[in-house]
Amino acid sequence: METTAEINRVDIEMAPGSTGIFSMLSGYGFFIEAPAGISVNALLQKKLGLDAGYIEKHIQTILHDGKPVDDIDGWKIKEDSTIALSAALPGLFGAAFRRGGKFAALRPREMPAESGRHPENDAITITVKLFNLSARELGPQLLQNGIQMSAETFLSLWKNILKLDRGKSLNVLLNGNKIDPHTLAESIRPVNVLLSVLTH
Amino acid sequence: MDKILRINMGPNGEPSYTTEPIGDFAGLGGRGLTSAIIAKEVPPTCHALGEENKLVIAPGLLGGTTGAMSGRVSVGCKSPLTGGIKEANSGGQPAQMIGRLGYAAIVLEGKPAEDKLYKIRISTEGVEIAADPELKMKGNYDVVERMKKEYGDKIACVSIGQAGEMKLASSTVAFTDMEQRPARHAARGGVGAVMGSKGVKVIVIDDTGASMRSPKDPEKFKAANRAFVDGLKKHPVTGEGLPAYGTNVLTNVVNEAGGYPTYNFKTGRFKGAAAISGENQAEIMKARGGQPTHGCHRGCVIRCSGIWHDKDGHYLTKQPEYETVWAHGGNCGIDDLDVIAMLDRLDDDYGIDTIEIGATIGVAMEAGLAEFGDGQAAINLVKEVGKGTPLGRILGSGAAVTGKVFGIERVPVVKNQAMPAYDPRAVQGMGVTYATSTMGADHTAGYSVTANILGVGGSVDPLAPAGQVELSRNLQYATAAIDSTGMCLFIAFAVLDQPETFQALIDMINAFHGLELTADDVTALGKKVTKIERDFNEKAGFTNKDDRLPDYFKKEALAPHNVTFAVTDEDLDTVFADL
Ligand code: SF4
Repeated sequence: METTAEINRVDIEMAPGSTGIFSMLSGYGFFIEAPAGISVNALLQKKLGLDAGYIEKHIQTILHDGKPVDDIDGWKIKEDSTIALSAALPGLFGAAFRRGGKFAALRPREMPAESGRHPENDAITITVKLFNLSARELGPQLLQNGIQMSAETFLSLWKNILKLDRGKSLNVLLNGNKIDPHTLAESIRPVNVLLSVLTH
Repeated sequence: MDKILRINMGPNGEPSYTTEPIGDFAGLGGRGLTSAIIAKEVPPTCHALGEENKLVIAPGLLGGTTGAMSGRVSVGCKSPLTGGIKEANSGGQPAQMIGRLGYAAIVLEGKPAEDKLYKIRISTEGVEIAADPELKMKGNYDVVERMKKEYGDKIACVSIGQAGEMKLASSTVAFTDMEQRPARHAARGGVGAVMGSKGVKVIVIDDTGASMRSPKDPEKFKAANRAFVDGLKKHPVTGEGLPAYGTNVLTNVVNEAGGYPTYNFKTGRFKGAAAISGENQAEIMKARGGQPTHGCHRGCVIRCSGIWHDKDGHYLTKQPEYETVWAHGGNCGIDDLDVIAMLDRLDDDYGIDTIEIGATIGVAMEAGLAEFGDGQAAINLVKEVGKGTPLGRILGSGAAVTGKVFGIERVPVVKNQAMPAYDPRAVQGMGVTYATSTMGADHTAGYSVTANILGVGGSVDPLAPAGQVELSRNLQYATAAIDSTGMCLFIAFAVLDQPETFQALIDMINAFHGLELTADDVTALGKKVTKIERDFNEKAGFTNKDDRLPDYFKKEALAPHNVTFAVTDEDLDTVFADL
């Protein structure tokens, strides 16, 4: 994780009911710090604030560095790895990659995910990606608290947000100062962005 | 729906038609019926564009009823693309209307002696067949507008664009949707070329005066339909994910899993995936006044489709679905949904299969005809097809022909048909289905995941080495069964997880037709249809050597997971050993 000096702080205020940004977060990874050796289940519950019932019902596919995870308690997450969460998905792909492995035989034979080895340091950084309904449902709380992502990721997310012409209806602050949404991209310095979104 | 309409287009005399009882084909609908007619009446070795081939258009067993999800239609023939039997499936309004007019199938036969182009109108008053030279080389959108002017706005149309008239192997048959737009297509295998070879540009369906088909046991049918709809609504895939984002909900996750074929199947991840994802697509549609949740026909309760507006808020096309977004997007390195939507519109207008042409452009880009990522170049290449230039005709003949013409080895086809949007190295069971499907590379052949519920071929141990082969086989049987009911395949998710929803589906069919089918009967039907199709292909000259993926999938490791296709040829040969 970067020091505060290397972080661009972007605060977005938007009108109530405009939930689009939360959905658009889908696929754009953000960073989370967690204790070394944390299990997938503990990450979901303790770091993302999900309860067991929600996970069971709504998080149907979990990918760790792109490989499907079935055993969320036994699975330990590696330093610098990516955890992606998705709601139920259609088709043969959805069935093959669904948690629980009923159709796991449809995956490649040599593709079981590697469980993480415990690194020596105490805290690790994990990239989290929320997809589809999980982004829509979890996005508001996470974005209210603020999420950190690479400047590169933020800029491509921002490009998509602006494409919707939402720039007009957004109030944007960069490092506490109001900024024209259309000039924001030029003012973002490299490394990371701490993004928070508030609805009023 | 107890009769078959046969329209003979020649060569002896003017086109004529006959109506006959369904006879031996009773109890069959959709793919079951198209494949049974083709297998019985078309010589497997005939030329696909010759007079002996037939084009069969068949609604499902519940077509023209109030049953939810029952408005899909099957189009069958010998395929000019694969050389084998073909069933291509579509949504749209015509299936319901053909059913209400009492037809289990419309069969186009023969071939006109002269180079004439016909329009056919089918209504309660009968069948009118007339030559209409004005329609020559018109796009589907123009054709439908002309038909509306001529016959009013209560009609539905089944038509071909320029590609079908040119008899190109990637051409489609278009079906109008609820808004009377030709945006739903029986797309795969060049079915449009067969319609073109019959000299038929458009079939206008007018069901004015026809009534809804009534069930043998109305109360039981109503109750079963209600239970079926409840099951679809409460399931997370059919009740939440598909309505919210459509099938394009898959882009982000398939990409994250490293199975998203990118740059003509060179790698499994595309950097621009999030920009073309279903989530982003839904937001753009909402912001522009389009509709992210819409049905492809009346009676669909899942509504995985949508309406795409351009930047100025005007209708451009229906919501491009996952396979289309992939074919024109990641596969060609294009990350702009407006470009993809424009390509979809052109495809629909010319009547070209989005998967086949997307894969073809990927091959063309690899050959250096354009740069990967160049959206305008992709649009220009598709326009070549519409214009019928020599290059356009090569591209419109599909990925295999284009690969041969430009000397490219990496051509993602099986039985000459382009692979859809899942790399078989990352989803190996999909690779088994691509390789062994009677249709050529086809994701929907094993799309339905009802094997354990349907109990086809016994229960499967997913961890056993033979698991992929056995699952693929069972899924192909189950899919053939659902295709034969005329139900949208997306019901499979709810049916898989909720036995009561599967029972409700069987109850609907039984209550409507006065039958006593069991789950075993339905699965036996799927197996029977698959056998009919494999027998046809064998007689057409196919052997086990055709049930293979191109070699490079076994040799070139796919990033990021560095996997190759590991299912052996011997295992592939066992897929249909029980038939
Ligand atoms: S779920 Fe989608 S494909 Fe199926 S009938 Fe409805 S809109 Fe058409």
